[in-house]
Amino acid sequence: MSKTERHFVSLFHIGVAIHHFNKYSERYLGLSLVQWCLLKQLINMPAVSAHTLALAVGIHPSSLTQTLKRLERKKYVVIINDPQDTRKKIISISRLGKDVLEITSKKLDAWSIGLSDIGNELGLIQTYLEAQISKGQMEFSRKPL
Amino acid sequence: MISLFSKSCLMVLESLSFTNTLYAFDFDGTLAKIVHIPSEACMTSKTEGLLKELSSLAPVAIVTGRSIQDLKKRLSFQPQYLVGNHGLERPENDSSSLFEAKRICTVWIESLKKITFESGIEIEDKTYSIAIHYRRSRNKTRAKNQIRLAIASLAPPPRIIAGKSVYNLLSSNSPHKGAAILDLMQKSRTNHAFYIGDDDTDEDVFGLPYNAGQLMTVRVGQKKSSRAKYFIRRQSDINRLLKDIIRFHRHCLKHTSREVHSE
Repeated sequence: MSKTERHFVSLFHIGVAIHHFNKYSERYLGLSLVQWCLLKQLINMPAVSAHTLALAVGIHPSSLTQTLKRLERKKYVVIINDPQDTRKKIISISRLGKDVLEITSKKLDAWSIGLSDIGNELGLIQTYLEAQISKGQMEFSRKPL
Repeated sequence: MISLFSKSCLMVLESLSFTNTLYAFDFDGTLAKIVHIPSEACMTSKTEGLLKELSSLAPVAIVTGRSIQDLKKRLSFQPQYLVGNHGLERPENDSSSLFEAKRICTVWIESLKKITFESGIEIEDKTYSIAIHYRRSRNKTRAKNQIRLAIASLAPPPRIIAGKSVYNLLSSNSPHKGAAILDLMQKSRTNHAFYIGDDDTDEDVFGLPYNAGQLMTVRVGQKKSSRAKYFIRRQSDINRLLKDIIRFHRHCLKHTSREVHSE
């Protein structure tokens, strides 16, 4: 395996580890990292539309649907039809969601010991991946498959 | 429009208490009942007490068509923000625009005085705007026509806001309630606002091109053509609404203080 290939395998393993971490976090803290991020955003954006929330968190609206349904089942968020446009939904955090968010944030604080040491590296990985995606998107837009 | 008192809508209302929110209220028809003689309108002591309690928990504003001077006479306490004359009279407002509005109103009043109106039509000089009431007129259609003709003769032409048995005349460049709310949000450093009103003059707030999350608009009385998202059935529901908002804020406060003690 070449050095470049090894790096990509490492990236793959990071992705798998994050996936497992998410599952572990949901099981033991009550919220996955994705759910935690959404609720954190919702606290400061009461009664927000799904589209605006997706933009604020930086994920595609279609990816948001499943996570929101999960949060609604747990009664952490309330989803109602927009009174002026029933195609749109309005999302709000519930009191239960707020309480869980506070508890989870405290637990995550305890887990964060050691995270600050690799904070720079995490930032570099994120920047690298985002740069590759935008570069790829530009190439694809010029040369369709 | 959906009823604000439905279970899910109350949960949406509760989420406003988790962050910095400005609570703004119209006066006539919202905080106070509509009465036959406008000068007799006042809040019940219960409503006033609840509003006072809310203003100790969150920023509160009263946005009215009345002048601030008139409004102050009807309040035993002063909320954080008072906006009068449909958004024209605001805290730290530019005095030159007020002076200009006052000058134009004086000209209009002089012109209106020359017209003999039928009984039941009353002209209220609010210094910076004028209200022509016809609530006490026996023939409302005839009264409306007479007022419209009178308004058409005014120079410079006013901006007209039709309300419940009233025509409000403002200078054409004067700001509306919507602009006042945006200004108050900036002043109170809140990203979100709750606004409740009952009249067509409140449509300027209801129709603000804002994201649903930033402005929660409620109308007193359900009306299909209104741009408000939620409604409460009648003015007497205001106390229930105030109690709910207070309860949500008190719960948040209790929770926070418990956390501080445990730390």
